[in-house]
Amino acid sequence: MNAENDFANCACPEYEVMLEEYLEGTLENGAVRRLNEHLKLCDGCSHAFAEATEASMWLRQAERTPDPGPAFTHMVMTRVRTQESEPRASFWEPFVSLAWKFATTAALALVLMLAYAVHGTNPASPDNSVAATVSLQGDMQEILVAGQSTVPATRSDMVRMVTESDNAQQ
Amino acid sequence: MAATASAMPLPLGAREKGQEERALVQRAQKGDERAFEQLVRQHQQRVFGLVARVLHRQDDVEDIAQQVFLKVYLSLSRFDQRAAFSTWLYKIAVNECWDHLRKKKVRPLLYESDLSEEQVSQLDGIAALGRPTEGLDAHAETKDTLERVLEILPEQDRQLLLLKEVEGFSVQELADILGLNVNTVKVRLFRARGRIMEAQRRRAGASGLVKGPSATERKP
Repeated sequence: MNAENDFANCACPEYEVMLEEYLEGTLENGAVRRLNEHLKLCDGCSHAFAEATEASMWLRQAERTPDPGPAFTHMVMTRVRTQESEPRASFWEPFVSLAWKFATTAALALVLMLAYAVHGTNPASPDNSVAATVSLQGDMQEILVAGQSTVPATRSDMVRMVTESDNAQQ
Repeated sequence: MAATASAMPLPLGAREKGQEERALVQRAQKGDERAFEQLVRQHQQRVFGLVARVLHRQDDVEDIAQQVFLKVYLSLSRFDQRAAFSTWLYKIAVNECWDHLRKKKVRPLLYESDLSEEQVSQLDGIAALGRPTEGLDAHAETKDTLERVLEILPEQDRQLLLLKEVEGFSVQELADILGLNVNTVKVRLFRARGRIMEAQRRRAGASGLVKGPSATERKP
């Protein structure tokens, strides 16, 4: 923000702490003399100090937050007594709570895995196609051994070639 | 020189007060409810002020302040008195406020410093419609202007200035509570004072009005 930078550039950075202490009245005497000499020479610092003094005076007009009064003390003590009368939470309570969360997550994961195992690995149409494929693979090996170089493109081609091979053998 | 506030010996009254507080804390740690009640009474105004200034909203201040004291009571047995009780208490208060703001997911406030002068002027006009303009004495008007200028400041500047100048927290306390270096707090405070005057000038420039002490006492 420009406005901030403009102000920050006013005071020499190495004097900012001293200027604040001077404003608070906590600056040591020796440092006060040194700062006063600097303020005579440095327009930026003297301007910044004047502004800060003005701001402090202005801020004193803001109202301090009022004391909430005895009603607040009473409320606090009531809450304290209520808390006292309630059974204290066990040391293990957070761990037990965490363990329950883990157990629930693990159970859910197990259910999902089982569901996948049951439905995910079975083929959509449970027919004898696996057995048929194995049988056809055996026949194909015989065909290839017999010198057939043609590779069937489709399943019907393969069936036809197996049939022809059987007929030839007969 | 930098840490003069922390290195300075405590005045006699403050030392006695500190000892009295330590005794109260010890009694409260042993389960003396009356001692704890006295601690609450001693610190409730500052805790209330701290919570109000950090939250910047009046709605939840009382609830959060009560929650702070309840937390303090529940963890009092763990407090080893190495730090001042007040510092420990105010740290709990600030953490409780931050937790509350995080839970509520408070959106960052829109500051007038992000607006153009024209927009600020328009906002002033809208805000003025809801306020009685007649019958306001000079003091009330200055206070009103101050409150509105404070709204313009970035959150951290506003908090620091109000906690220091209005709620009466020392630089050392602010450094302890906010976990900052003492010199950092001093520099931030000094710059924030400058920004408040800068913000006031912007407002005055935007509205064409000159309010506050700066108007009459402006130095060349």
